[in-house]
Amino acid sequence: MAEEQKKSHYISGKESREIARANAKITKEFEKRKKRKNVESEYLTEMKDPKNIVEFDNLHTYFYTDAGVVKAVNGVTFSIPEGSTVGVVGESGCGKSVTSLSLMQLVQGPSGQIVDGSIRFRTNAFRRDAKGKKIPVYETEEVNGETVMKTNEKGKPIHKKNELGGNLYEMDEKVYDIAKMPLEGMRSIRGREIAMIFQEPMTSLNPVFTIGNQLDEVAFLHIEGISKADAKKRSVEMLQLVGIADPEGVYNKYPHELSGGMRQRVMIAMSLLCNPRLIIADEPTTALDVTIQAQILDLLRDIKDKISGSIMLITHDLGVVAEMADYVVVMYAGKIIEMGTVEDIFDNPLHPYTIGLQKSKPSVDGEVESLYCIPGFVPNPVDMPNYCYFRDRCESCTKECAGEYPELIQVTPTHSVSCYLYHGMKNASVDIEQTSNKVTPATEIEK
Amino acid sequence: MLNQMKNENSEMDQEVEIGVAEESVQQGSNPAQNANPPAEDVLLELRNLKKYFVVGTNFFGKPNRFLHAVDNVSLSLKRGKTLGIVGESGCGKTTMGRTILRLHEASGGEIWFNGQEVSKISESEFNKLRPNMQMIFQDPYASLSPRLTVGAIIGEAALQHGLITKENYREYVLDVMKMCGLQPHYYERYPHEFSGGQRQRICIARALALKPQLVVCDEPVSALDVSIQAQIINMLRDLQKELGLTYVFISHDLSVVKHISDEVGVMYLGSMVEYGSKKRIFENTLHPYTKALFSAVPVPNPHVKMNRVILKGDIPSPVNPPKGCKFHTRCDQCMEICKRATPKYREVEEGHFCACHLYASASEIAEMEAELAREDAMAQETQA
Repeated sequence: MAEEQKKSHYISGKESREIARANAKITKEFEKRKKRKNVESEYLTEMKDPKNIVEFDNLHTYFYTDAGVVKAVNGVTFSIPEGSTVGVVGESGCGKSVTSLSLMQLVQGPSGQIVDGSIRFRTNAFRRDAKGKKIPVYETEEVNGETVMKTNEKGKPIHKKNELGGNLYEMDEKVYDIAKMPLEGMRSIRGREIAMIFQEPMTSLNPVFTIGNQLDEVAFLHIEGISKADAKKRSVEMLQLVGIADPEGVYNKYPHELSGGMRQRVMIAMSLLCNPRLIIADEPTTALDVTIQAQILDLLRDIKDKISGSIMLITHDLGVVAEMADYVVVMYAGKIIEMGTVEDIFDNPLHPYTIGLQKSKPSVDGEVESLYCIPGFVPNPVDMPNYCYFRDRCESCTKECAGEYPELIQVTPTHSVSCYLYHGMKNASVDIEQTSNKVTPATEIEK
Repeated sequence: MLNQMKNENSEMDQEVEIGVAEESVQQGSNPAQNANPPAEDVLLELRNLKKYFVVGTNFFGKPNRFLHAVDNVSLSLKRGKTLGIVGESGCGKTTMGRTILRLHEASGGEIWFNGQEVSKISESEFNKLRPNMQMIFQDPYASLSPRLTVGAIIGEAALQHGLITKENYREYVLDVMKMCGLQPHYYERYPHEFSGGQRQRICIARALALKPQLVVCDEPVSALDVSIQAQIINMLRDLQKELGLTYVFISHDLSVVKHISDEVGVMYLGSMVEYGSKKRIFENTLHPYTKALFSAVPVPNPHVKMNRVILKGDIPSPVNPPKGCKFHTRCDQCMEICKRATPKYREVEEGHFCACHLYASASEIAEMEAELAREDAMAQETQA
């Protein structure tokens, strides 16, 4: 019985209190750092590859719980190229949502903290003068051959308007390290530069305000100096863009008057309001029906082209990823186990987990007698083993797997995998043919 | 006051029954209307099953608005087979499952189970049949009592129905647990100590402990991860082979339904729009809604570019469903007749039923049109 208890990670009340006390000390430090004064120079960095819009570099996000430290994201490195869709797939609890929340600095504190690593984000930032103030652009006119600032009746200069109807400021393209940013600085990025679409459209809309009210609020918050009429115009325009037939009518409605698909459209409209560079879609269609899912996916694809932004798509549905994404990142227990282009992952999956995942999903056009199932369970997140996390469930496990966690190695320029089976293939295109025969993707077997 | 309420209730029942009678007259030679029991090998047969929920009452408290959750569903299911029910949320598939087990009282129609009409027998009589029909619920997190141990959860009903005694309780429960892939030392544990997949196994063990013939699985895998889904689906299949179970498998996931079912029924707004063997439904899809539903499923293959039928708009409210064919508001092959006349649920090929005007013969459509014209004339006359 004692042995069994050990297996179930039993901890006594006393131990739990001790852990809580130690955690409080650590998290207090982190919280303090988040609330510090906003000094831009502290988090200014450079991009590794200028084509990327976001680069995650060895990101660690931990949760300090009373049962121990949960390493929800444990050394994640990938990037999102400009104008592309990156799909992050994995089962529940693999850290895909926490990765996206880290990018927005929305991880539930004080227990959840970004501990290590960096998230580099290329953004449009305000140019600031010596006092740290934003530099406005004013309307000018020609008087007697000289350019003079236009003034209103009170003698104050008139702001030049940007395309959204807000005040125009001088902007620069800068690269910020989001992992090191204080909360104050984050506010200028959230909603304006990165927008997020959440899974549950019902819980992410406020039931006591009208749709119009909630959409306008975003505009007032993030577009400085926008007039009421302009905000409404913009909101209605966005509702139209997401394919709502009667935008004026929906503008005055409450969330409960809309169906699930319509609510999700409103959420998408809200995220598009400030022309973001990156949209994070966290399971945008999981709560919806298939026919509505098809509509929403179609809409997302359309919109990506229209606003020429990037999408980070988080989902557990391999079908959705295959359809939407250009690049795929497969996560398991807080680590990336395989990443590559969508063709790499679906035509030539390498990691046993990716292969298993694809085989265990019944398909609509194929027929199999019995589904493949990955044996066992995900290891307990509190104390992860120091060998490959997938070893205990893996069928092609070898002697080498007893060693420490395998590094992510590049098999082809676009395709990386973290598994000892492919360590021999480092930097060479040896036997890729052979291995791809060995691990034929599920879809081909069925056909 | 109580008496009054009772009277009203009975009145409402009468009303609904009158409705049934009227429809049976309208439909004329509907084979499902005679009181004959179904064939020997049929375990479950539904005949024009209806479930209406009252959503509005008039000034005197008499119900005047109904939500047509299940509207005239007829089907028959043979022993040892699996019937898959698919449809969007709100189409009445769960209500149908629950009505079969009389967790909701049916508002009309007949349920034949094992050659016996069970929708109108008394509660105490039905309780004797309950062990034969069990249900697995959607959410394994909500459907297990947090205060009972696994052993108590699984064995409670079997003890209640007198299948086992207190002496062989533990032994029996451990047997059932073993069958469902649960280890014996879980016996003393509580549900919160388990993951979703394990909990669903407990739910399945609870249902199977009564040695049922029919198991209604209401979205048993939709709350689970893909790899756990596969484990549960495989287990359900193995158990079916081993124990000769009959499943009604309700799901919104077409790929799962395709994998597990022998027969498939597609529901839309409370009605069955297409029904037939799996092979027929998937290879020769008839109804435009089914076609759209199938094409909407994302395929995990980046090279397949689907030519998708994307449905416009949302599912209409079941409180006042559209007139005529319920699907005509979203259908891309909608004809004039679809907006007026309800399509007949007809056998298009052997064992393949479909309710759509596209498959009606020209003479039938002409007949319907003539009738509609007659009705219009009548209405005009009364107006004048």
